[in-house]
Formats: sequence, structure tokens, C-alpha cells
Amino acid sequence: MAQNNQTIDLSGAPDKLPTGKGPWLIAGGLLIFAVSMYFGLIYKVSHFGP
Amino acid sequence: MTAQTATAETTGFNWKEWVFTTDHKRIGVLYLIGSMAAFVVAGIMALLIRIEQSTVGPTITDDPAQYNTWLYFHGAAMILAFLIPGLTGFAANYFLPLMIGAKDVAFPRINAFSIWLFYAAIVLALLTFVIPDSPDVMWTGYPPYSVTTTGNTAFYVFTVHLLGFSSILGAVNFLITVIYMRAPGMGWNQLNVFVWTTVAAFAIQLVFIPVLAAAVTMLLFDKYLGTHFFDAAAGGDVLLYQNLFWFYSHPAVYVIFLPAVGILFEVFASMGKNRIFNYKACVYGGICGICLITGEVWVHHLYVAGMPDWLRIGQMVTTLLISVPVGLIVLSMWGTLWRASITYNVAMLYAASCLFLVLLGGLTGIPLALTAVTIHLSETSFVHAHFHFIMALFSAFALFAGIYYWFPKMTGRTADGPLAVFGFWANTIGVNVTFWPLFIVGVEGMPRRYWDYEMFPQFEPYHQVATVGAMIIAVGMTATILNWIISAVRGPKAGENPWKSKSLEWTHCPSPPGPGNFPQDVVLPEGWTPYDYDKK
Repeated sequence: MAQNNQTIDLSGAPDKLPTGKGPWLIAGGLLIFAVSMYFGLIYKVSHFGP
Repeated sequence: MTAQTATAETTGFNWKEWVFTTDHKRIGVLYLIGSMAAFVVAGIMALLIRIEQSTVGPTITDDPAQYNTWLYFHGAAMILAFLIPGLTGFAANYFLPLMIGAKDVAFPRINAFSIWLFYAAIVLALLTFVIPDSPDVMWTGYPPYSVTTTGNTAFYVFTVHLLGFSSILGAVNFLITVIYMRAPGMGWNQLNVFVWTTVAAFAIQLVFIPVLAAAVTMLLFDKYLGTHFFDAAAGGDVLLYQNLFWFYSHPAVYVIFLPAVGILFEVFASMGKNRIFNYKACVYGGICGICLITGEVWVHHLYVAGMPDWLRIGQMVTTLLISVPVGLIVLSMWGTLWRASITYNVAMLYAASCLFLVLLGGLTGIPLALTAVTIHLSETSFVHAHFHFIMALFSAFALFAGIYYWFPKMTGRTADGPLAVFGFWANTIGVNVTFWPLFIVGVEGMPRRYWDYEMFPQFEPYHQVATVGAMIIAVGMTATILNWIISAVRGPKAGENPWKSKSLEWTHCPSPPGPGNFPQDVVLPEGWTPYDYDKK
């Protein structure tokens, strides 16, 4: 990995990432939650009314 | 693991290193630059607003639409592009990983994507001044005006979308970072209060931003695609937008308030050399309590909009109830300063003045929470002055306290010179001279957001005093920002830990930290806390 006194890391530093499926599952779940809230709300409001 | 070097020496400026960086500290600095740029432009808008209000009748513009554009940019930029990105973008990005002993955030590339979404939003917001049909919908975007105006509501909507998407990605990133990337042995009760408040702010963002994004999307559809979500004449509900908007935007107050509080705790503990008073009550009762109640108080923004009494009364109770967790937090702040050996530097001056601002803002919020009283104060300058004290000034001063506190960490230099002290006093005097008169005219009926007030000529002297206050703030902020720039280049060297703090960002990494943050893996002794000062 390109890290030393004189350079700045541009690589995305894969070894900094947490390992295992847990972080990805939680991150994915949170994003799905947010997107569902967004579209779900628009869908729900579009069906309001008499 | 290999010990990674941690100095920030580079061989000159290279723009590619900044554009393509995934380093959380550089991304934090980019957030700081962007949010301060938004602050400066929005501050100029505030000055124009105050100058216009200094006389009855037209002062510097005879075009109310122009005045509305200033209001739009001031409100939207201060909240969405300065306070939220300054606190959850800059402060969280730069210091949260350092405080938990992480080498970076969990998803560095997503973090880099977030910052460029933020800058895209800033550019979009600045285009307000270029396009012929500038948005003029305040920061609220209420229909029916936002749908019928000839102003470009789409710019407002897309700016909100970009900032919201950036915040959601940031929220996911930082929640995972705190859950998975804490140094070995660092338990939840050993986290800095700033980390807790940032986690709480991001959790709130994640839950409530989709609601605002959906609301403004429907606004966009109504204006440009001919739908009728908010058109009462066609079966829609105009009040629905206000409910959705405030369902996000009141929690957004805590997205700003909580990280600001977190910064204050760091400053109080380090400058007072004291442990956090009542840490668990502050965290679990105060911070988590706000998260639980924050979604139940939005109706107090709509007391006069028309709704059943049971809803109004219920939300009056929840609005008053949220003062309990806020009270726990404020109690912990005062307790942390009790019998402390306080170092009164500029960071501490800003932090201490926040105690006054939160008290004033909090106390003036109580009448606004009471349904019977609010009827008289709603949409007056009293509200305007209240939220400036409790949210805008409190949080901005807390952010400035944080900048002075962490300045040696970011630059290796201190910024505590005479210019800094002058800036502090000018800002403090200026905000009080500006907003106290607005309380007075507000109680007497001065409406908010009006371009002119020819029906109330008796208020002119108060507005003139407020305008003088705004000019004092402009002088103070100019001195403050100049001081930061000068000190970053040639301020006195600070040393590794000038405040003798016990927090990880001071004790375990150099100033400024380089890539990888920590020269050695972080090993915490048993019983370690970031506030491990001798008991008095």
C-alpha cells in the first residue's frame, strides 16, 4: 500500500476495510431502509385521498 | 500489522491528492473549506437582509423577490451547507476515526463520493446567483408558493437531494466505522461523548432524510410534472408538505445540536481536566433520549396551521418532554466544569459562551412550545431570534470552539492570538446586539421574513440596532477567518498535545497526523477512558 512519509494514499486502502460480511450486511440493510422509506412514502402519499 | 508512518509532510501542493483522496482527514478539511465558503456567502446574505431592514421602505433593493432570494440562500446554505456539513462532515470526518483509534473510516471510497456530492450541491446552490429565475422558496420550500412561483424550485430540490444523499452515505459509513473499527478493548462506555453525539446525529439523518427527500420530490412533481400531491383544489393536501418537511427538519435541529454538544464536552473535559460528569446519564438518558423523542415534536412548528387539539396538546407535551434529555446533557456540562482547573483559551471562551447561548435559546423555546402562547408569537421575529440563539449561534460557536481546540491537531500550530480574542468578543457582542432587539419587536408583533414593515414604523430603531450588530459580527468573523488562515501558515508551533488532553487523537497520534493516523497500533490499558484525569 502506498503509504509513507512523503505520499498520500490514493488507493482506497482496502486493508483498512473491516473484514467479514457483517459490515456490508449492516451497511446494505441501512441503505435499503433509507431507499424504502423514500419510495414507500411517495407511493403511500400518492394513494391518499378519497 | 505493519506500523504505518503518521506524519503529514508532503512535497508541495498536489491537487490530485486532494481531488482523489480517500483520507478521512483530507475529506474533513474539504468539508471545512466548503462549509466555511457557504457560511461566508450566507453571512453576506444575512448582512444584506439586515441592511435592507434597517429603514422602513426600500433601503438597498426595491424588489421583494431579490430579498426573498437572499433569505432563501441564507437559510438553506447556513443549515444545509454550513452547520450540518461543518459538524457532521468536517468534525466527524477528521476526528471521529482518531478518537476511536481507527486508521480511516469503514468505506473510504464512499466517503470520498460523499464529499463530492456535497461540493456538487454547493455549486448548485451558488448557481442561484447566476440563473435568471433564482429559487425564492426560503429553506422550507412550502407549497403552494413553491409550486406557483416563477423561481426555479428545481434547484432547491436537487440541492436537497444531493446533500441528503451525501448525508445518508456518511451516516452508513460512520455507523459501521464506530461499530467495527474501534481500537481493541474500547467499549461503548469508553467512547468520547463527541463520538456518541455524532453516531446519534447520523442515526437521525438516516431515518429522517428520506422523508424530506420524498417531500421535495413530490414538490418537484407538482411543479413540473403536473401532479397534485399538495394541491388542495385537486384533492391534494397542502399541509401534508409542512408535516413531512418538519418531520425531518425538527430532528435536523438535533443533527446540528448533538455534535455541537459533543465538541463542547471535549473542550470542557480537556480545558478543565475533569472527567465527564454523569457520563452514562448524559449518553443514555440525554443523547439516546433525544434520539427517541426527536421524531415526536415536529408539530410545534405547525401549531397555527390547523389541526385537532389532541394532536396539538400531545405534541406540546412531547416538545416540553425533550427538555428532560437536553437538561441531562446541560447538567453534565456544568458538572464537568465543577471545581475544574479551567484553562481560558479561545476554544474555552467560545465553549463557555455556548452555555449562555443554550440557556437563552432554551428558555425562549419554552413559550414557543406552549400552544396558547405560540399563537401570539408564531411567525414573528421572536421565533427568528429564538432559533438563532439555540441552533445557529450555539452550534456555530461550538464549531468555532472545536476549530480552535483541534487547530493544533490539524496544523501543528496554535491560533490563540490577539486577533482570535478580538474575533471572539466581536462575535459575542455582535450576536447579542443583533438578536435581542428581534426578541423585543417579535413580542410586539413584527412578522418574520417580511421585506418591508411600513405598517410598523415604530420598530425601525430596533432594526437599526440589529443591523449594527450584524456589522459587528461581520468584523468579528473577518478577523476570525483571517486569524485561522494566518495561524495555519505561520502560527506558533503547538507541540503534540498542547492541552494535555487524555483523548486518543491527542495522546496517540502526531500533530498533524499522516496517512494511517497512528504510528503504532493503538493498545489501550485496562480501565482506559478518554477522560482519565485525576479526580479532584
